Amino acid sequence: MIRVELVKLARRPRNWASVALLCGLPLLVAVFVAVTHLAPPPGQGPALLSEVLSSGSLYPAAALAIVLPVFLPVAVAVFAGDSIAGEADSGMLRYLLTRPVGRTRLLWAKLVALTVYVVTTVVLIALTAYATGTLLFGSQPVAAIRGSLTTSSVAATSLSGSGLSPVQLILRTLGAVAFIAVSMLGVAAIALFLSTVTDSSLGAALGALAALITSEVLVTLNSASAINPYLPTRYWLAWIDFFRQPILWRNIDRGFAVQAIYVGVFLAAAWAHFATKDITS
Amino acid sequence: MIVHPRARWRWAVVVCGTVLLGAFPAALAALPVAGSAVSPAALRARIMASASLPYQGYAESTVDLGLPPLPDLQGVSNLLDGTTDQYAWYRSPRHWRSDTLTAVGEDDVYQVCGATYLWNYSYNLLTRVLGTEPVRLPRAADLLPPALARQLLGLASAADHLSRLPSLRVAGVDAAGLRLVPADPATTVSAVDIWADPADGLPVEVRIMGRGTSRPVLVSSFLQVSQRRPALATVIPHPAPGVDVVTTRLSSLNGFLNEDHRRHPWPPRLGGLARLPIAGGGLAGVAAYGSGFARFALVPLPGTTGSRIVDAATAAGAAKVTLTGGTGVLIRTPLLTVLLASPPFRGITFLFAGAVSPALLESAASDLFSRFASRP
Repeated sequence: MIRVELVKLARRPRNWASVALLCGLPLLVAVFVAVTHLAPPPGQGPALLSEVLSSGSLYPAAALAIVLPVFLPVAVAVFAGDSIAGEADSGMLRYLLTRPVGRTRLLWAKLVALTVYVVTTVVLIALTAYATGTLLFGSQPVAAIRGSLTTSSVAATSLSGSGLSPVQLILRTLGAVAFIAVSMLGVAAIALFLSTVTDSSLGAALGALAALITSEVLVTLNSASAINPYLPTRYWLAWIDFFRQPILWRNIDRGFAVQAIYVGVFLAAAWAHFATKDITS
Repeated sequence: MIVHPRARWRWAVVVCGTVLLGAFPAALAALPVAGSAVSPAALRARIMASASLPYQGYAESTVDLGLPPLPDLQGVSNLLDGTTDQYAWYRSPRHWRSDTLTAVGEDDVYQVCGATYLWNYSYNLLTRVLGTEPVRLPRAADLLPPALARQLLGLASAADHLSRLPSLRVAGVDAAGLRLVPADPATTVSAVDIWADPADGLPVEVRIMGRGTSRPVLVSSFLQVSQRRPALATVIPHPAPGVDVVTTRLSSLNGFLNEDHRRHPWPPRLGGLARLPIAGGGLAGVAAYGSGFARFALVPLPGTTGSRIVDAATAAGAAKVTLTGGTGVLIRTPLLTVLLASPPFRGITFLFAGAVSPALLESAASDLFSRFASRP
C-alpha cells in the first residue's frame, strides 16, 4: 500500500510541478540579486538574504525563508488536502476500499506519502538553493580566522556577528531544514484531517490555510498572548535561531514540541473520523 | 444518522488525549507555589545583593506606554512601546551579554570589563564604547528583570512602603513577591512589583503600575532562566572577518546633542526639585533633577532635531501647553511624561522626561525659561 502511494506520488506531474515552482522562486530571486548585486539590507526582507552576496552557501537558508511564509504551506496544504478528499472527489475512494485494504492502513500509507513529499520538497529547495547560491554567489570561505577555529575557515557570518565554519554552517542548515520540514508536517496533519472530513480537496486545503492564517493573526495580538505559545505558527520562524551564536534552543525545542502535538492530535482525529466514516463516493 | 460504536470509542480516545495535552500546561501552572517567610526588607536586601549572581535566560519585556514614534528616538520608542525578546548571559557585573532578538536579526550588548560592545546586525557593525556611559539612552538590557529590579529598588527612599506579595512561579522558580509603593505623590509610578528567588534574591519578574491604571504598564519576565555561569567565550564578542568594527568614546546621546549646549549652566533647582549629580560628570548638556521615583531628565535638543521631534509629537496628537516664557508639547503616558519645551527664541528645544506628573514638568520648564528671561 505504501509503495503504491509512493509510486502515485512520484508519477503525478502536478506534484513535481509544485516542487519545481517552489525551487524556482528562490532561483528567480537569486538571479535578480546576482545580476543587480542589490540584496535587501540586513534585518530587512527575507532572513539571511542580505548575506548571500558574500557567501552563496547561506542561500539554502535564505531560500527556505523566501518560501516559508506562503508558498510552502500552500503547496503542502494542497497536497495533503488532496490525500483522501481527492480520492473521494474522483470517485476512487469507494473502489480503493473495496480491495482488501484497511482504512487505517490507507491512512497510514497516505501519511507516509505526505511525509515523503514534505521532506523531499524541503530538501530539494535547500539543495537547488545551494547549487544556485554557490553558482551565482560563490562558495569561497569569507576568510580564514584565527583562534578556536584555527584549522577551519569562516563560511558565513552568524546573526550574532561571529563566524560560522563550513561544518557549523552545514549542520545548522540541516537543523533548519529539519525544523521547517516538521513545521510543514503540522500543516499537512491539519489538511489531512480536513481531507477525511470533506470530499472536496480544495475545501480541505483552504480549511488548513484558514487555520494557518487565523494562527498568524492571533500570534500578533497581545490580547491573545494566553494562547500564543500553542498556536501552530507561533514558532515557525524559530529556525533562524540555528544561525545565532550560540544556537538558542528554547524556541526551536518548543517549535518541535508544538508541531509534534499538532501532528499527533490531527492524525488521531483523522484516524477516528476516517476509520468509521460512511464512504459514499 | 447512525454513529458507529467504534467511532464513539475512537473519538473518545482522541478527545481525551487532546484534553489531557491541553490541560497539561494549565495543570503545571496550577501546582501550588512554595511560599517564603522572608521579610520585605530581607528580600529587598537579597535582591540588591544579587548583582554578582550569574545567570542565563530568555526574557520578554512588554511595555505599553503609547509613545508616538519620534525622529532620532525610534529605538527608544520601540523599546518603550511593544514586546522585546532577549537572551542574556550574565557572568558578573563586568562580563555579560544581552541579545535583543528579532525574526530576522539581533542587536547585542556585551560588557567586557570597562568596555561596552554594541553589535548591530542591520548595519553589520560592532561598536566598542570605551569607558562608562554616565548618561545614555535606554537599552533593552536595562529591561532585564535583574537589572530593572535593582535599578528600581535603588531609587526607593526610606519613606516608600515595602510589603510582601504572594509567591509566583516564574520560569520554574518559586519566586517571592515584593511590592514597593512610592510615597512621593509627584511620581506617576503607583507600585513596583518584583518577584525574586527567595534563596539568593535573583529577580525573575518585574511589573510597574502607573497611577490610574489597573494593569501593569511594564512587565519584564524570564520565560526561561538558569543560574549556570555562562562561559567567558560566550560573553566576549568574536567578530567575523567582514564585520565593521569601530571604537568610540561618545555616548549614544551624542547622536543628537549639539556641543553648543554644553555651555548651559543648569540651575540648581527646577520645579522645586534639586539637580542630581551625575556620576562621572556625564555630558555637560544633560541634567537630572529630583529624587527617588520623582526625577526627570533634561536634555537640550539642537534646533533641527528638536523641531522634528516637536512636529512628530504634534502630528501624533500630543497636547500643546502654554508655559511661562515659552510653549510646549506634552506627551502623556500612563507612566512616562515627556515635555518638549521651546522658548520663543534661541532655536532650541528642551526635552523633559520622567515618571512624574505633567504639572511638575511644566513647572520645571517655566522655571527654566524664567531664568533665561532674567539673564542679561
